[in-house]
Formats: sequence, C-alpha cells, structure tokens
Amino acid sequence: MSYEFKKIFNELYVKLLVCGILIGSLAVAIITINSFGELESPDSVKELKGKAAIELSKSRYKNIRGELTLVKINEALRYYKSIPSPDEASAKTDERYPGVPFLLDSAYSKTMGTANLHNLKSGNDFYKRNVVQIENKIAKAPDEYGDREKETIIQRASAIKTPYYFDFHGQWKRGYTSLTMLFIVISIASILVGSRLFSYERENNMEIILTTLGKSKLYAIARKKVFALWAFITILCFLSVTIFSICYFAIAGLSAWNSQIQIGYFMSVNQLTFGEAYIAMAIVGWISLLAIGTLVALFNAYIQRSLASLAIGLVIVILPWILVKLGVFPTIIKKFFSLQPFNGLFAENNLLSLHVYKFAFFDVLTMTAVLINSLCILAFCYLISPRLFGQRIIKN
Amino acid sequence: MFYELKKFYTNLAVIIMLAFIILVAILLPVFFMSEHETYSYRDGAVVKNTGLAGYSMGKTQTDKVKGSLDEKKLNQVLALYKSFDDDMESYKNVEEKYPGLSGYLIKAYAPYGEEEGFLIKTISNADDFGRRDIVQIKNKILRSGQEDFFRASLPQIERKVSEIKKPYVIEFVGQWPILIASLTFTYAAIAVFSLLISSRMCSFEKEQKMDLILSSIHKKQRIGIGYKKILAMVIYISAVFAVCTIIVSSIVFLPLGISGWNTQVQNLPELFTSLSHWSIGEMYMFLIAMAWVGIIGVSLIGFFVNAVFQQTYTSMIITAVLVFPPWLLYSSEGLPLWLQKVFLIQPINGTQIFRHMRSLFVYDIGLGELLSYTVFFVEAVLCILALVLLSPRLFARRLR
Repeated sequence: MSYEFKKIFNELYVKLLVCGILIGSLAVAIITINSFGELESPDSVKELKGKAAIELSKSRYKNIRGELTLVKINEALRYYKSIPSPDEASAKTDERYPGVPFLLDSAYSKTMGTANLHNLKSGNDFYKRNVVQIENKIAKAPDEYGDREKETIIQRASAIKTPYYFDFHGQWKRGYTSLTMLFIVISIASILVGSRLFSYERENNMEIILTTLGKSKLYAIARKKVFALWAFITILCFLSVTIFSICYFAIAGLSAWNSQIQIGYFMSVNQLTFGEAYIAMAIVGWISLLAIGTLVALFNAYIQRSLASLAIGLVIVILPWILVKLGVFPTIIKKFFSLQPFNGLFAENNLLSLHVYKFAFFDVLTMTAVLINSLCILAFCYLISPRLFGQRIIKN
Repeated sequence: MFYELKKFYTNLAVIIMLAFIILVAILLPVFFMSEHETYSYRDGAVVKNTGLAGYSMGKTQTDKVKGSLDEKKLNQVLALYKSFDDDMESYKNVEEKYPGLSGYLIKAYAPYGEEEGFLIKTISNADDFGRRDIVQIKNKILRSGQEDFFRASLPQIERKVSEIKKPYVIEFVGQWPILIASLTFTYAAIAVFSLLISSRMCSFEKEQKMDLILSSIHKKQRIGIGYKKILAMVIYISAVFAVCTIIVSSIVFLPLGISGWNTQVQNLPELFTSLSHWSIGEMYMFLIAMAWVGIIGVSLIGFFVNAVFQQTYTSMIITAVLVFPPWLLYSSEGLPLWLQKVFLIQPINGTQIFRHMRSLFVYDIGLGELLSYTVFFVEAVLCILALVLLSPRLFARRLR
C-alpha cells in the first residue's frame, strides 16, 4: 500500500494541491475570524472587526449566559416593547440581550415576513414554538413532506431538550460554513486523485506488465490502490480540519460547545449541541469525501483514461447538487439527490433539513442518511472496482 | 490545424463536458422562466401567474406605464399612495394603476439596504427623483463602511453618473435578468471547460510519448505547430461559446422578445445604482464580448502554463490557482477593496457582467477616468497578445 501511496503523492500536482489546501486552511481560519463584525453600540457607526468584535460580543453575552428561562425571555421582550421603533428596539435589545431578538423573531415570525414583536403578549409558549414554526414551514410546501415524515419530524422537534443553554455561539455558525468551504476544495483534490488511480499504469505504458500478473494479484493491487486513496484523503482531510480548527477556535473560543444548536438554528430537529454538531459534520464530511474519491476511481477503473474520468467525476458528483437546487423535480427524486455524497459537505443545509429517510427499520435525519449512503457507496466501490480493474487490464 | 482540432474534439473527456455545458445552456433559462412568478392587482385582489403566462401578464401591466418616467408621473403615484390610510390598500391601488412604479420609488428613496420595510408614504415628494441615483450611491458607500476608500474618487463617480441619460424610459425588462443569469452561469461553465482543454494542448504529444518526433523537427516548424495549436483551441472554444450564446439567447428571446433593448440599464432593479450609461441592449452585446475575451484569456493562460509544465494535471491545478481566485473570492467578506478592484478586471471576471455593472470603482490609470469594463478590455487584450506571442516559442523550447 505504501508504494501505491507514493505513486499518488509523488506527482507534482498532488504536492501542489496538498500544500495549497494546507495553506488554504490557515487562510480560511484567518478570513473567518476577520469576517466578524460588531457595532460598538447601537447608536454608533463604528464597527469593530475580527478578534475585537468577538470579544465585544462575548462580553455582551455575560448578562444572559446560562439557561434561557421563560423569565429571561419575557424580560427581553418587555425591554423590546418599551422602545417604539422596531429597528431601534431590535438593535438595543440585541445589545442588552444578545441573540434573543433573533430567536424571538425565528419563533414568532409569521410564515411570511418578520414578526411584529410589539404585538406579542408574552413569550410563555416560546419552547413550544419550534413545533408551530415547523408545522408552518411544512404547510407552505405540502407536497414535499409525507404524512409519516411530518409525524416523525414533529415528534423529534418536541423531544428537543429545553430550556436551551444560552451563550455566545456566533463562531459556530461561521465555522460550519468555513468547514464546508474546506471540504469543497478537498473534494476537488479527491476527484483529481481518484480520476487517475486506476489508469496510472496504462498512461505510463506499464499495463503490459500488469497483465502478466494474473487476476488474483491484480485484485490485490487494486485493493491496495483503494486503500492508498483512502489514506491520502483521510490524511489530507484530517490535517486540513485540524489546522483550521486549532487556528480558528484558539481565537474564537469554544463557548456554547454544550448549547443546543436550536439557539442558532431554531427550526433544526437535530438533537445536537454545537460541539457535537461540529464533530458530526467533520465525520460526515470525511466519509463523503472518501465516497466521492472512490466513486470517481470506480469510473476510472472502467474507462482507464484519466481526463475522461475527471470529466465524468465532476459531472456525476456536482450534478446532484445543482439538480437539488433547481425546484423542477418531484420530491422523491430531490430527496434521492440530496442523499448523494457531495451534499454531505454542506453541513448547514443538512442541519436545517426537515426530511426523514427510512433505512430498514430506522427513521433517520438527512445527516445520518447521507453518512449511511456514503458508506454504502464506499463498500460497493471497494467490492466492484478491483474486478473492473482486473477485467479491463486483462481484456486489453 | 484541422488535425490539431481533431486531437481534442474526439476526446471522451471533452465530449462529456461539452454535453454537460449544452445541457446547462438549455435547462437553465427554461427553469428560470418556468419558476418565475408575476403578481398583479385587479380590483383589489392579487392575481398570481407563473411562467410564460406571468410574463405576458407582466407585459400588459407594463404597457399601462410605458414611456419616459418623469417626476410628474411619480408625484401622481405618491399622491395616490397618500390618499389611502391603510398601507396594504394603497399598495394594491398603486400597483393596479401604476404597476411597477413603486419599485422605482423604493430604490430611489429607501435607505440603502432597508428596502424591505420602507413606507413609501414617508416620501414628501418626488421632485428630485432625477438626482436620487447619486444620493443612493453615496448611501451605498456609507452603508458599506468604506467612505475612506471612495472619498478620492467621489467626484469621478459623480461625473460618471451625470452622463447617464435621463429620464428613464419604462419598458418591459423582465426577461433580461433571466437571460443574464443564464448566460453568466453558462459562461462560467465554459471557462472551466476551457481550462480542461487548454491544460493538455501542449502536453498531448508528451503524454502519448510522441514528443521525440516533435523534437526532431526544426525549431521554426515547432513554433508553427504551437501557433496551430493555439488557433485550433481558440476556434473550438469560440464555437462552443457561440453555440451556447445562441441557445440561451433564443430560448429567452423567442417567447419574450427584446423589449427594453434601448432603455437604460438602471431600469433593472438590481442596477439602479450602476455607474454605467449603457442601454440594456448595449450591455447585452458587451456582456458577450467581455465573456468571450475573458474565456479566451483563461484558455491562453492555461495553454501558457501547460507549455511550461508539460503535464496535464499539474498545469490544470496551477492554472486554476492563477485564474479562479478573482472569481471565487471576489465578494468574500474581509477582502480589501483595492484587491477587489484588481480582481474585477481579471479575465475570468469577464463572465460576471453584473459585478462590472454594480461596482463603484473608477479606474484612473493615465488613460482618463475609466469604468471597470474598459480597463478589463485593455488588460485582457494585452494579456492575450502577450500570451499568443510567447507560448508557441516556449512550447518549442520546452520540448527539447
């Protein structure tokens, strides 16, 4: 296997890619930090940026850190209502009770437009509102969700642990998006490497030697190739995520690790804390990347030409992502597309998805479903591609 | 040259990508058109239409207010707005009598970035509508928090805005955003496609182990082969470009027409604060020209890199790193403005017409005060000329 690994890594373009991605991870961390912005006070126009902004936000959260009880919510609401202008009210409330106006808005907004919090009597039913809002969302697109699906979603939504533990959580939302960006870049690297995995010998005119080895040897070589690909993607993914996480969270901090993601993603039905969600995303992203690379390698085993496999790989991997965005397909096809590995990289979308998938006896949410699908693809490719590779080499 | 063409259009990878691009060029405008929703108000009730029916409704609606948009007309709209107490009631009535005009008022008078909840009633009168564009541009700068960067160029921006023809002429322009969005996306796909093609132009012989034959011929002939390769590549990419442009344009123009060709680009809601004095038709022509120059530029950069490195995958990655950041990172948060200004005029951004139309940059580089698209053309053409001269020689030398 180490020899096959060397074959991958000794190419100039792979070295360039790896260097680029590792430096890129650092750059993404710095850019994400710099993207924080916070007004010094609601009245001032001076905006703090980067680390200073994070520290200011954190100091504001001091007043409200801890369990978000109904008492606190009502307190914030009363304060909000004491200021007549909606813009001013939400700016000022955001200073004293940071993050709460956003939550109230998500909890009480009508299906269209924003909530008029001035008309709201009290926030006593706050912890029941996520079910109401999810029902509203589902009612807006009735064809998209089946009856069983609705039931499961509502059930999961009402099972979420309350009260929420409130703390500064702005860094997580941005972190999730940046993680997606890293994964997209790594996915391109996986496609590139996968698209040459099985045609390397042919393109170096060595396949004649391979043909003399016999089938079982060829299969063994092919399996080693797959393992080498997995090792390559895993190492790259691990290094990149580690570099990013260390640099980013060293500055932004890990506050709200134990808070429910619902304080940032009100309508999510995933029973996760921000920290757990981050780890889950990293794992789903990693397995999805493995699946992408291996799937492209499967095409390569059959076509035996790198550039053509690259083109097919790009089309096959990215097409489901584009097709999901276009709204023209029936729900069942859209659901199938959103199950594909490339969508495993879009962490935030998966957290917010309200779809339920049924595998054998289990109902699972989108994130788990993508993970299971990617694992199936991995297993399938691992079994099939050595045979394809062997046959194609011997035939020609 | 014909033989050089054959080397890649019979290639499986090229065929797959080509099929994908043509599929995109057909599906995208069809999808955008079918998803489009048009609302109109009749006797106080909302009528909603989607797809082509919506467009024809939009056209008959626009006919009610067709012609030049002067302050008098806008004041009438305002008067009608103020004659009702209820906001929704006045909106419905105005939309019924003057469909679409409230959009102009919102764009011109709402604080920049707060169009959503803006109450038109709060406008006292529309006498200064003709001068609101520069006010809104200043608001846009203020809102972005970059006054310092734009302070020096503010007089230049004002001069540019004063060249815009007034008053605006209202015509139906609903088809243009769809056309431009589809073209922008298709062109971006072609740019990626041209990267794939150009990255194997010079390494093709080497990777087929044929380079020994090439290196045994005279240097002048090798340079000649280099030129033929460039010509073949440019012709092929231009042909794909032309086919896609014709597909997208005819899908949009055949059912929806070219109304609005001669009106100012400021009539498109997205471009109210544009500095450009083009008409929409001019913008369309320049959009095609810019994208073509940009894509040829990208492919020539790919060719040059490939001539240097003589390895397909390596040159693909190096070219991607050289070419794509100005496109992908252009609107990322935290990017310094001077870098954005440089990014905007790079070849790849020739495919992004809206970026050029919306940017407030004025380039003062010794040739007078120019907007981004003029500078883009100068830069791209110089880049193309240099690469065409250099690459074949490099190709000939590197083969030895």
